[in-house]
Amino acid sequence: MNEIAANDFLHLFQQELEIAEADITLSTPLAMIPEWDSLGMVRFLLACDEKFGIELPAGQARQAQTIGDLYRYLTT
Amino acid sequence: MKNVLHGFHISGICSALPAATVALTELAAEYGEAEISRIIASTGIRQVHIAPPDVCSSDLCQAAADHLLSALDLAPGEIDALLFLSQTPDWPLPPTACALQHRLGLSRNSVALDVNYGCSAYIYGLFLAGNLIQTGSCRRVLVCAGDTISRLIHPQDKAVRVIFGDAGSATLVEATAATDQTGQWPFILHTDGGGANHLMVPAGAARQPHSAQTGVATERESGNWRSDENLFMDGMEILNFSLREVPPLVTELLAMRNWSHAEANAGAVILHQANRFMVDYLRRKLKLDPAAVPIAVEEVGNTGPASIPLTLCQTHQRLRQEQRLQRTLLCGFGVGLSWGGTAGNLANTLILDPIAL
Repeated sequence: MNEIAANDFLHLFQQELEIAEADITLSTPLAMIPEWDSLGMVRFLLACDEKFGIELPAGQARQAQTIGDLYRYLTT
Repeated sequence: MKNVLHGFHISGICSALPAATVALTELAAEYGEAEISRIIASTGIRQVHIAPPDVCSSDLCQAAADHLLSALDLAPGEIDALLFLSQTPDWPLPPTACALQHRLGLSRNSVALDVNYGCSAYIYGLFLAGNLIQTGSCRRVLVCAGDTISRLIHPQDKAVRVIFGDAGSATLVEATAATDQTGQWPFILHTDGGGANHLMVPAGAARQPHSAQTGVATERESGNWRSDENLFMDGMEILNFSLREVPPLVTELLAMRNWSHAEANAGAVILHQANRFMVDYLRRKLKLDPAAVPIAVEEVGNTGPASIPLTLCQTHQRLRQEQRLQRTLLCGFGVGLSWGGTAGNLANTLILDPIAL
């Protein structure tokens, strides 16, 4: 179990994908975010490793349906 | 594989780029302006050089080799072996190295070998050259590394089109009697064919020969089109692999060389130039300063086998001025999967500015 505040997580997500924070919540479907392509994914996974010290496997990130799924993978 | 080779040094390095370029901003109409800005901001790549149809990897390497030999005032007949490291040979057969032997005017007593590798190719080239010299088989080995990877890229596959560029290089490795560190080169090489399908051209050779079907491009993932004869890269997997394997490799090389972290930081760590965020991320992970880890993708992109020598050719003036070259670490990683590195003294190496063809 990794303790990461949801706000910190969302902030990192919007920062790395360069999207407005107001536009996203944990329940936002990733399919609705055009910036969530392979480049965005790579940047975000790198940032997670750097900021939280957690390496999220690419396969898992690909399976995520919502931003909340990513958060769950990171924190469990 | 881990071993310290000795008895040779790198005399000179030259790189050649095709003159024609594609600026990423030219692709804005196709991909959208915001998307292109985002790609440039992340990858640091503003343009790539693309060889015209009549220019092959071997032509780029030949131009670099001709320029290098004349700068070193060395007759081609003095060279004992030519290694051509590329994923884009002139033909399926004969070996392109044989054509280069003839075109460069090397002796008929010379050895000519093709080696099929990409982003780790340069390390393999130096490793093989070092072995040929250390065994006494050769005194001078010309390492030609380059790709015209644009030939394998589908124009509608954004994932690779905005990253990869064409380039060639030539490096002369020579025997030396020096017994100090200038003649010593620790090498580490790794292979994991289990990851082969993450970076490959699936069809067009013997496993899946060309057919009407293999040549047809289809949409593979959102908006990216390619055929089975085009280059495929799973960027996520390659990224994961690089982040996992490169930092420990660099650390191990420094230990073999007995260079402290501070010494490495005062030297030059030349990583394969995949793109800016990858190199920058690896640099931060290794806790090295930006000045020690050059990023030279802006004008050329990822040039595969030529990436490491081209980076040296693009940045040598600053590296020399800051006296970094006496401790130079080189590290390549990619197709195979394969990864490896070496480290040594390039302070006495003639490194030339890139030339255009």
